[in-house]
Amino acid sequence: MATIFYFSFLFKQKLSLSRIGTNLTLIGLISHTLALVFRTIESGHAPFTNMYESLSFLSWATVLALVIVEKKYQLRAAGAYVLLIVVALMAIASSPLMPKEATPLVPALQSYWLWLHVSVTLLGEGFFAIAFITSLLYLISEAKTRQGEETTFSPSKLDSLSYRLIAIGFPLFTLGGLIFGMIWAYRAWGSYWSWDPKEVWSLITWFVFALYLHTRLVMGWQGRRSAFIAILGFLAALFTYFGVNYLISGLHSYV
Amino acid sequence: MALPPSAPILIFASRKSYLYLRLILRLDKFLIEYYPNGSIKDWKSTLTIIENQKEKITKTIEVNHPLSYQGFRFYQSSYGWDWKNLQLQSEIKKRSNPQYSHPLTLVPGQPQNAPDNLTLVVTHFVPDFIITQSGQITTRSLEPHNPAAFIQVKQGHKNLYTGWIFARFADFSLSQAAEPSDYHFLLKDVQAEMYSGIQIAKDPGTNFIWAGCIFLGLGLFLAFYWPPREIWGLIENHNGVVNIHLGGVASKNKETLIQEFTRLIREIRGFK
Repeated sequence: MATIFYFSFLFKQKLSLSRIGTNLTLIGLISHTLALVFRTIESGHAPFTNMYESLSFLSWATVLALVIVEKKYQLRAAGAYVLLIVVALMAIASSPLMPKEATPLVPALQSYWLWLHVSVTLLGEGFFAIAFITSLLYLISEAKTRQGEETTFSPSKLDSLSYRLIAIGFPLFTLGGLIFGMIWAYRAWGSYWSWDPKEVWSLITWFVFALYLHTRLVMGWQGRRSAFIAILGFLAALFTYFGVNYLISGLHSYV
Repeated sequence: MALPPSAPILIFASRKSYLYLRLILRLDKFLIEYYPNGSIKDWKSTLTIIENQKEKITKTIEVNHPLSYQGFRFYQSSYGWDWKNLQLQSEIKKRSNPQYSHPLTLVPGQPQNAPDNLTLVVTHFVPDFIITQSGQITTRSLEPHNPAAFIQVKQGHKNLYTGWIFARFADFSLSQAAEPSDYHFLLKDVQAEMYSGIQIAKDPGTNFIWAGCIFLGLGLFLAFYWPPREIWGLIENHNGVVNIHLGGVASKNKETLIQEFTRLIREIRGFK
């Protein structure tokens, strides 16, 4: 089932320069939502308890964030590049190496905090993913502008969009990842902080984005320096997500 | 800590230089729930806390549902089998007589007598038998995935059988004295008492952490939605010609000030 959505995303990606692209993204999002709902009903638990499920959910959250941003800030053209990331995530999720069957929930995950902690965190990371793309686009268009070339996007618009995305993503990430995670850890493991590799790396990610906001709001940094921090932040988030799982073992062994 | 059923443990608290008995924790019941496919669904421990010789509270805890009592929190953290205290149900059979069966309960280290002048003793037990690449026999885990017992059987003074027998693989045995005999020995079941691993935490500082979380949330909210900024306006009237001067300052987040300022100017211009 997931493969169909994967291909529908590929289609959208090609067409998303136009209005049709946006509508196709919307159809993709709705079908993906239905797929997640069916999976939840079928398995009886939240659709993010292993790597495959959480990748699929992260893609969904990214597309959701994208739809919101496109609607609010009228920046349709950047959508194509964001969908590239979504396609990449779905491709990894669909690879034969990922176990796809829904397995019963291990005791540690049987809590409503699973819903709160994972969904809010991944939604925040969805916004970071879009900010990553807009920051990359900023760097490209800014370099082009300096050489006197025409660009599709106005660099200053991209810069302020990146800021707004992080301004939405950061509170979500703080609430879902940090605060909900601490409360859940306190209930399940007996301590709000265990210096687990995933905890440490998400704290690093959190610090990078906090640095972004501080340098921007307090010190007035903009443009290239901000874009670099936003890119670094998303790379840290990616390492928290993939690197910690495959390179280091810890308490967060499920996702 | 590992808590065997019905043997209470004592919890001491320290006050300056001495320890005093604070609480007694007793495990009333421990059970494991399984999913239909055999994987573990939950561990449940029923705990009773005794203070000053009175039973104060009884609660069944499970993962994600700890017991709280006067600042102490009791978590379900692990479980296991007490392999030092186990009973092995075994059976002696005869190849010449398929009807023959003699059940026997063995305890490691204690020789047991059986008919036909047989003496059985279990010298080693592993819950999860494995042979490593270097040929050593060890246990892969502390769970009874492949329980195996090393038995020595004598008939009078004659060694009859020395080797491993397996609970999961009745037909299979790994023997050293491979002299064929009429008897064969089965390991039917392994019984050991389970214990429940309880983690006890007392962290009076946690409330400060929650307070910090609330401040963090409030701070984020204020920083984004209520940044300090000032906007002034000066309206001059020079004989019917009205001049409006606008000025603004923000200590941080100048971007939104610029946005708000341009919006304000646009609105004032539209007012004409």
